[in-house]
Amino acid sequence: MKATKIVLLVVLASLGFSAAPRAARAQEIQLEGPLAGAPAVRRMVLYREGRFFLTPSVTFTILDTYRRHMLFGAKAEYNILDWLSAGIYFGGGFGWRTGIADQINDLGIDDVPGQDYDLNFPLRGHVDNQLGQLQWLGAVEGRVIPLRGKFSLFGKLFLAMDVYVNLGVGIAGVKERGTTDCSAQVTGPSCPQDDYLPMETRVAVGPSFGGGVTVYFNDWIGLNLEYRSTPFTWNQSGTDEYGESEVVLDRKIDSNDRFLAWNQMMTIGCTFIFPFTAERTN
Amino acid sequence: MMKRWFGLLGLAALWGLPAPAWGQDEMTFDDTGGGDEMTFDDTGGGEETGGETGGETGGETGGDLAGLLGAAPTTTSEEPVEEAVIDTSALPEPEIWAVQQSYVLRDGRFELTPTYGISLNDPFVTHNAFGIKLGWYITEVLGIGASFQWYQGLDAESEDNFHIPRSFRLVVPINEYQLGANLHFSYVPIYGKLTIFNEWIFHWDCFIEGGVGFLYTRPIPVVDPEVRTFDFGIRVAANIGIGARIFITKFVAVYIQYLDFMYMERLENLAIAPSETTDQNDNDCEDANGCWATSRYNDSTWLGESKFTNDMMLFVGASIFFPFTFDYEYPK
Repeated sequence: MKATKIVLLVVLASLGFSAAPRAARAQEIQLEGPLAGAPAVRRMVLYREGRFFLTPSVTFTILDTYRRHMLFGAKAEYNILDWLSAGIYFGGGFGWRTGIADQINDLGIDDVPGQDYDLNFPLRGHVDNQLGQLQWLGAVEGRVIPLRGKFSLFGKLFLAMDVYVNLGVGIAGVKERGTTDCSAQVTGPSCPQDDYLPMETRVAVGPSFGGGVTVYFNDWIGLNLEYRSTPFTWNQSGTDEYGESEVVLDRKIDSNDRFLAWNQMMTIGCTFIFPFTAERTN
Repeated sequence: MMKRWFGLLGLAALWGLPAPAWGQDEMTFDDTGGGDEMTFDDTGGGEETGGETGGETGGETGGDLAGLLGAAPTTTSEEPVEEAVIDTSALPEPEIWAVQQSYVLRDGRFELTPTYGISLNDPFVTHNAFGIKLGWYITEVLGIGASFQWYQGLDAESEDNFHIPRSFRLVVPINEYQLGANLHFSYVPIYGKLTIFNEWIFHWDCFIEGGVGFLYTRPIPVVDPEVRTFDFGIRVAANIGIGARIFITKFVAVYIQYLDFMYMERLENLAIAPSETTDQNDNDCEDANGCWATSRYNDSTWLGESKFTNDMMLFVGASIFFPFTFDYEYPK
């Protein structure tokens, strides 16, 4: 009986010991005061979330070899979240010759003694009949806006801004030198002696990517600066580049003569935002 | 006997009592326990302030604004307190503003920036360069600096150099760079901060830069490469550009800059002198070989016109500011 009591006592003591809570050795850090539990940014202006952006813009192509282009257009996008949007872009315009193209235009095959016509080398003043032109450009794209913030200009003017990257599909209306076949070395309708066949238009498709900055002057208007590249293949020079080797060409102007071009451009636009009032966070 | 058993059970149960939390904050901010030495109660009860000033100003208590506006009615702890309506329109504009400290100070610090640059506007030759730049900020927004770039061996000719001469019989003179050195003035008009997905915040600034220096260049012989070779020569170049720094820490920043070097470039002569004589003393231009003055081997016939050139470069790099630490003039 005595032994039973002792065992029972030991069991009870063990249960009680095991039930004792551990001492809290790690101090709990509690942020107190007015910032306790506060968000990183109070009353943050949600310039994008749930709002519609319309950006009339002008676009300049850059790093062109033969022809520069200026496109007038607009970009429309709906901002699903403050950091995610989807939209479309369309622009159309005109182009003009670069300095190199001017030199080619001023030289001409006329200056080569004993040669009236060459598939690649235009007559003087006729280079525009063969240089490729970008007539319009469109894009459907998604946009991620990872960066947003503000900056001061001269310490006086404080503006909000965000930085984004975009990725999508671009489509371009290009005008290229018409298919010309001089492989038979016979002058005829397909290989004119002293004139060009009409330029041909087609639609080129390629990826479209880039990034930009939007600066907000108030809740509903901003300035947009964007870089975009839409790579696709086209024959910008209108020359025969394809053949058995670098010196033996096929004497045809066709799709084999197209090269991949990055088609880089800069866009500046004025962004109007609807509805005009942006919501604020708490 | 049963009492002894209950006593044992009670002792065992004591083990189950919660132990004190040793890490518990022992400091209390409970101000209900007196606060004899210091009180922020401005309702007129403070003995030390009220007692001392009361004799001189008629028991005036309260804050600074009340002091500026003159004597206020004496109140006692027994009387109901009326909130004073203070007209601040007559007060001068405050001269001290609550402004957050800039994350990085530039005043008096040096900036060392290793860079890699690439030219943007030459379709025939891409000029690549490794560089180093040292700057010193005279004020928070004004700085001076010097930079050095090494180009030789890094230039890359494009395919246009092949296609254009083949198609159009047009030879475009191109040039090679060896090095460049420049002095700059910098001005920082823009300073800001950005969040990444509203999680991380970093600071950035934008600067404009201008100065003068030189490029050490020479033509790459493309018109008569069998004969012509060129030596490098100094071309004085003005430079102007814009750049940005994204601060990773208070002394390290990602650096990006667009810089336009404007200078007069010496180009290869597109015409080849007609005569073939190699005799520098041959002055008879009437014979079959011609004379030295019109010889293709005469290096004075190799250089052509000078042409105003814009070399637009994009530099990326990392800025390191030192000293690494700095002190703010005012506390946070």
